[in-house]
Amino acid sequence: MGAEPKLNIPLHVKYIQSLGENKDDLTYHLTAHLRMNAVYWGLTALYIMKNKDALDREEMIEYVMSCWDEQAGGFGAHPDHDAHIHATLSAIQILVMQDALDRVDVDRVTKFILSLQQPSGVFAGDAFGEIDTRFLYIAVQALSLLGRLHELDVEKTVGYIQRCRNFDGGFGAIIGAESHAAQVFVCTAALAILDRLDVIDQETLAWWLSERQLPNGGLNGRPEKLEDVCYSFWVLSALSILKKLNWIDADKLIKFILSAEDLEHGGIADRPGDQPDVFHTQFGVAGLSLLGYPGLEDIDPVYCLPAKITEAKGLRKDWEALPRRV
Amino acid sequence: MVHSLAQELGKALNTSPLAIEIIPGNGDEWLPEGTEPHKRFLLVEDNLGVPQKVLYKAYLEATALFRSYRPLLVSVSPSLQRDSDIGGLLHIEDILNVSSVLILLNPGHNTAWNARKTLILSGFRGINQELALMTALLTVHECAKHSLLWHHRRWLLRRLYPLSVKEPSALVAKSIPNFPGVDDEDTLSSTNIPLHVLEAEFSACTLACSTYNRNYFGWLHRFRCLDALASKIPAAQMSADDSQVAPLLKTLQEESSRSSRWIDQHISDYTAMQYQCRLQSMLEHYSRLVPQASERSPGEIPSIGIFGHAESLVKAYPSHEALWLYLRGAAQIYAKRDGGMIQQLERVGKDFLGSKTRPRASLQNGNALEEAERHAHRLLAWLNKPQTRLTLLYRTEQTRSN
Repeated sequence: MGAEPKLNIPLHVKYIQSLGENKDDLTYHLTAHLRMNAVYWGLTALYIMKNKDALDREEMIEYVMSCWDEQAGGFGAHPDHDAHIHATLSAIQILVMQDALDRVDVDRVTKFILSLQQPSGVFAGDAFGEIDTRFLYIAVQALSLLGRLHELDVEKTVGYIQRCRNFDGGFGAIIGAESHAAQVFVCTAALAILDRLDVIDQETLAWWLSERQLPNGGLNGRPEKLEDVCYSFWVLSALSILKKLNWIDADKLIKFILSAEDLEHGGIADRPGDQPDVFHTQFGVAGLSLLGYPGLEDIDPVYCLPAKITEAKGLRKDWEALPRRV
Repeated sequence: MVHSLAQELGKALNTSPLAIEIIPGNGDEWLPEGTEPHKRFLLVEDNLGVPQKVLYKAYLEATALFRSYRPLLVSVSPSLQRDSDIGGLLHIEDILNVSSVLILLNPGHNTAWNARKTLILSGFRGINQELALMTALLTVHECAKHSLLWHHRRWLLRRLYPLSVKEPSALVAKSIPNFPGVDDEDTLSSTNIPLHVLEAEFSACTLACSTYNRNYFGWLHRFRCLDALASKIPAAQMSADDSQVAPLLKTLQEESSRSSRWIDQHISDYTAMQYQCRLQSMLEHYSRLVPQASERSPGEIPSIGIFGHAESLVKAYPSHEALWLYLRGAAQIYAKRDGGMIQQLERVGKDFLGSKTRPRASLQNGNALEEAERHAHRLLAWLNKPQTRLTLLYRTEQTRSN
């Protein structure tokens, strides 16, 4: 890497540790509906940066369990929030990473997740029914991590994804929605878990994904949108699953991600000069891992979990990241 | 009784203003001197102005109040007697008020949306009132783009206009093979939603897209309304009254014109271009399957429109990637009946690189020519992709065999 900028791991670890220290400020309350996800993002980033013990394990597990919604049988994002499939997956992912899945009532959570599948095959986020391919992926991954994937109606689930496919090879949030790199990730990863990548027009999709790279090296999620660090994961993960990661310029993207680091306070922002947050920190680090950046753990692009975790559970699929640089 | 800022602001929101503006600062410059702390916003002629710092303060208050009132919701649905517990009812109004504040600043607050749905289901909030608030929120940047707001809007519409068949789109899907409609649970098709309401929805989408450009969920909602419009055509066609089809086709055609105008004015809005391609697919579909469409108004349904539209825009603004992709999308629609689309696309790319239109690109900013050349090269490379050629040719052959 020569004199190129380097990922400042100690600073980013410190940044993640500092999050949530002030529970009275406006930002904390404005992001409460994403708190469970934020804990997952922070823990995954720490794991990939080889600092998985930088946050207190017991405190984290207690927080997760404090968000259990006894009535619904799922997890909310915060103790006083309704259960939602998104927070439920994050809770499961955290507990899996902390080797504490025994704290979950697997039967009840499975029932909650399966209850959200709609007749069309897509999943709703909660009982009030917002549907999205994101929620479909979440259900598939959660059931896989819980060892209950055999209870899913796979044909119905795959059928919905097929109906979301657009002429450019990509996928949208629901039928009729524009292709979007984040939705491409969820649909591709769900199909990978279900061993149904045959549904994808792989060359056309990889073409569309590689066209997301802009001259400055960054990736966008849709044509003529600004580049954003988080697409370093959404685009790369899909390309990695399709084994076409070399279709983008890795060096330019690494440079772009590192240019969005906040070298004063830590964390990574959506693009250079903006305020960092834990979401972009996680997906920036995850993107760097897939690009073979040195000194990082492998991330599994299908589950967005450390590869060691999915391998230990026997869940690894046939994806390819770039070789780890030294 | 002492009211908090959150409650007062929420009350103002729930009167369904026409527009809402969040104004930087704390309002000192424009609020009358001596304004009471819990009334530091202005509601004038149905326009609500809220100073940003006041909204922050209201949000913090609303968070605490919502947390304390939320347990009441458990007992609300579905059987709470409206006149049984006056104290409880007062708090229900409080939940409506503070949840309005929560979604104004943070439309991602799922639990606040759920609370409102619970109260609507229990009859404590009128659907039309709520729809009016949703329209007002489309004037707020962060709200106009949010998926939960758009889902809430369709949820309300489905309560006003229930599905006319048990399964979404079942009628349409069975009556017309390969109907390009949707068949999931968030659909508006196969509802009895009137045409004038759909037209109002198109206007709401335009408002939202004016507030927030490249509005993913705004255009998606528009597509769902378009799908609802199209789903009415087969039933109208089957009815004895022939005059029922004409207004539907006229609205489709007007929508196509509106969409074209939008693209002319927003040449980076690929979301709108995808919508236009879908709309064109529907028009193509009905030009073949609804005899009245071709017999009655051959000039009303644009038949060759959008490829030419896309090509003219590419020539005028070649540095815009969205327009080159619009061209690709349009070509795939016409490939169904025009076997020469590959050649036409090659011609556009080569014409540009052959410098026929390059001078225009060079008149734009410094990188524009370089960007335009990259898009032209990408188009030609995309055309050389076996899968592209197969798709374009396959569609032509498939259509011929039909």
